[in-house]
Amino acid sequence: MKGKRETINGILLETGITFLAIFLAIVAGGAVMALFGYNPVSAYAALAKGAFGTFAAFTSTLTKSVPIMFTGLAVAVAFKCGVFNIGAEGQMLMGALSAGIAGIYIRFLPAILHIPVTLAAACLGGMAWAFIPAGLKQKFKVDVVIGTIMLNYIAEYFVQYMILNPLKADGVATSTRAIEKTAMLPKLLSAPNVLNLGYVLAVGAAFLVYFLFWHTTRGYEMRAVGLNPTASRWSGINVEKNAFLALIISGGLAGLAGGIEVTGSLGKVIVGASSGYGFNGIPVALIAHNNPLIIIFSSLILAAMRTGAMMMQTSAGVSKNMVDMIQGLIIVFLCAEYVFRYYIKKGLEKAGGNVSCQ
Amino acid sequence: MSYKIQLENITKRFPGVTANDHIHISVEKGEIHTLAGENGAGKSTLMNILFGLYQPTEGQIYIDGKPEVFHSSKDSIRCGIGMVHQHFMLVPRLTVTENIIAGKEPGNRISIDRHKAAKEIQELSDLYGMRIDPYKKVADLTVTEQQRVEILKVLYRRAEILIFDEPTAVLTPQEIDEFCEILLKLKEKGKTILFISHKLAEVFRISDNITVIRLGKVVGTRKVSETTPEEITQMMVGRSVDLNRRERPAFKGEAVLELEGVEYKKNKEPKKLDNISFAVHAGEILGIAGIDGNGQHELARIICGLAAPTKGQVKYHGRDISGESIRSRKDSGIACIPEDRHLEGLVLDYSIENNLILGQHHLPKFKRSKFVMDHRKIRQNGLELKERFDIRCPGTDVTASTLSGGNQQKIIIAREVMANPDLLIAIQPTRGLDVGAEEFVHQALYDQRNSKKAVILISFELDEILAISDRIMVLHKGQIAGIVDAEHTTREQLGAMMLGLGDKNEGGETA
Repeated sequence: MKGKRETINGILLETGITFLAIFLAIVAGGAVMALFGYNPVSAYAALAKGAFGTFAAFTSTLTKSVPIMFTGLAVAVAFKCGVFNIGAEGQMLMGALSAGIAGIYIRFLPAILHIPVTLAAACLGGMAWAFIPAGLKQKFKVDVVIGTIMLNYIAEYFVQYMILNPLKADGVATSTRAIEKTAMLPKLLSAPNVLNLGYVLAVGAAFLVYFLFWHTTRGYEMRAVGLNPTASRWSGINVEKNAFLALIISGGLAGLAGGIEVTGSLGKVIVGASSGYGFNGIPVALIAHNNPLIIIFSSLILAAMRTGAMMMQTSAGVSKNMVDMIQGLIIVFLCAEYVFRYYIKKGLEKAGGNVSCQ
Repeated sequence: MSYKIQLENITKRFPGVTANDHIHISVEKGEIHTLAGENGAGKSTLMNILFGLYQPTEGQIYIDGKPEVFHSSKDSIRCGIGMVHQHFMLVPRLTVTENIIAGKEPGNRISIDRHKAAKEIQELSDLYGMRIDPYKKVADLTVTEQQRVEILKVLYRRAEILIFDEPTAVLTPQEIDEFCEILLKLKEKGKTILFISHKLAEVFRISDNITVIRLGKVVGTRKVSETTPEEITQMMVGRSVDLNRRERPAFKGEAVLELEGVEYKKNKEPKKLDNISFAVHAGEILGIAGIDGNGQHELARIICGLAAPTKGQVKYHGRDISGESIRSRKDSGIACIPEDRHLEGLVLDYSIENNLILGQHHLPKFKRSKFVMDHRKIRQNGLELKERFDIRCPGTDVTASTLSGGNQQKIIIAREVMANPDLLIAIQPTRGLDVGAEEFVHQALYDQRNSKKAVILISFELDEILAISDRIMVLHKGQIAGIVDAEHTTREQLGAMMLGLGDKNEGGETA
């Protein structure tokens, strides 16, 4: 095989295969729809129209991509360091709750201070929640996957309790009181278009993570640990410390997803504030091969599915749940992608032998 | 034309490279024919063609004078060709018999006639002088015995031609002797043997003819009786290589590393290291010999900081470093060439230039500020080391995984030597390397010594230890079997010490 360069070329090739996986998922999803008697073409057309049909729809898709981008970045940071954070959902909820508390109880602070304080609270909330599995791993070698998954449930019910009891709005409500106006992120466009500062922050975060990975010593170590922990240890890199840090940073990013959802879109914490954004982060990171800049775009795919689903239901009569199924299919095909690649590589090796540069 | 095997004009082209270029080889029945050549010269490709795993682009194979086409190994096995791979392909939980008959079980469809098979295997092994118990589990066998099982597997399938792919790489000197005897026995019984190896000592002991391949072409075939190791080496590398060089050190300085009563054990397992005390001085190469698994790995890990001794002290420049981190040891001048390049030495998916700073990436010279790396300096460093250490690669930005073993090893050596360490620990640094790369590695170790640094070489290959060490310490069952002066010690003495038979400290001084 010819030298695979650690550059943009290699990444482009990777994404080429990824697009194939997405395409196959869409085809398979269409086949299933056809099987159930729906017209897949009109269903997809409705989906696309719902997501990108008008400028307002497009901005709504962009807005939806914000929390997904953050959770995608969260998953990617951990993945890059060889840590599987399946707990972005829980960390996001804790971030949302923390932002809600800071937004409700801190008063008389100008927006220029209140917003950063609220977002910092969200970030810390997510970090604190990630600290639990990270600490358990460090101290007792508890598997991070199990730890983060389990903490999702605890977070879900804890946040629900907080919303429905101490923070509950007056009357019959499934949400907290509204946060102070000074904690709300400024809107970038006027109605009917929706876009707030959160999008800019999310894209900024993607660039920051990129910088972390490829331009800092810490990022160099984290990637090395993710690629080969044994060699990293021999070279003097503290593997445990890097994995710990990666999970904490990951939790912080997931917490920001919740914080920005609350301060940008919701204005309060509602039951089901996340509705799976945390889990969306996993396919988003997978599609992007953990490249933070590609996550800016891959998060758009899942966001489009969310905004387009409604239109698909109303105009094509296809259940919203179908969208969840297609998401599932994408993950399956993305995982199968590694199988494709394995065979492609094997095929190349068989044809090409072990050609190394001598 | 009564050749057993005849390869006519074999050419194998892969996209962008010609692995075999019009190769002619003729082997007579009952001959031991060695294929020698550097890694990547095309030996393995050629053998894979003969075994039916690859199809040649051009050329013709003749077996017993008849043209044959092998579409897969099934065809070649039918023609009586068997291959003993370097990495054993055995199922540890099954018995010797079960392993051998797998895929060719005697008996009817429902039950296997194990006893008949075992008897047959016993007879086969007696015939060739391979003592082996057919009912033993493979997991309980030694490496030599496992290799015999591999050979019996091939013989059981009635092979007349046996291909051995670097069979002695995993054996100790004594085991190699026994192995050579088995080969001669096979030859005596009329088997034809093709032998891939770059250990010239054994090649010269048993071969009839040697064919040297370089860059996919046959350089020449020589009768063993009419050639010398020097000539063969020169043919392999394309230039002359000094095989037996030992300059005595002009300088022996103070002790750089001292171990005092070091013990290492894990939980309730037996002690892996017991009462280890020795010193390494500036300006010397201390070779650590021993059969694999006698405590070498643990010793290396303790010196490098990957494991802590359960008792005793590790002193570096007189300071106890037993509790120090790997990084602080590295920063204070201890460098290490780990045994497993792929697992321990390199991040294979990192670029060459990134691998060249691994472990030193945190030093100010590669940074723009406290946290930010300086990619320009990293690139520059990569290019400099590529030049200085002759790392052959299309560019320093390609991943390390694309390089050959020798060039990968050069990355590690360049990196560790660049750190200008006071103490360099090399663990099996030439494993799997060809003569040219091996010479390079040895030269790097000499250079360290000659610039008045301390070097520890851990190797399972006696010839290597003898050739380049100044003093040799032998480990046996986690204890020091002796520390001897390399100049006044023979292979046999060392071999005996490795097996725990020798007198301690004979012919040398204790440290």
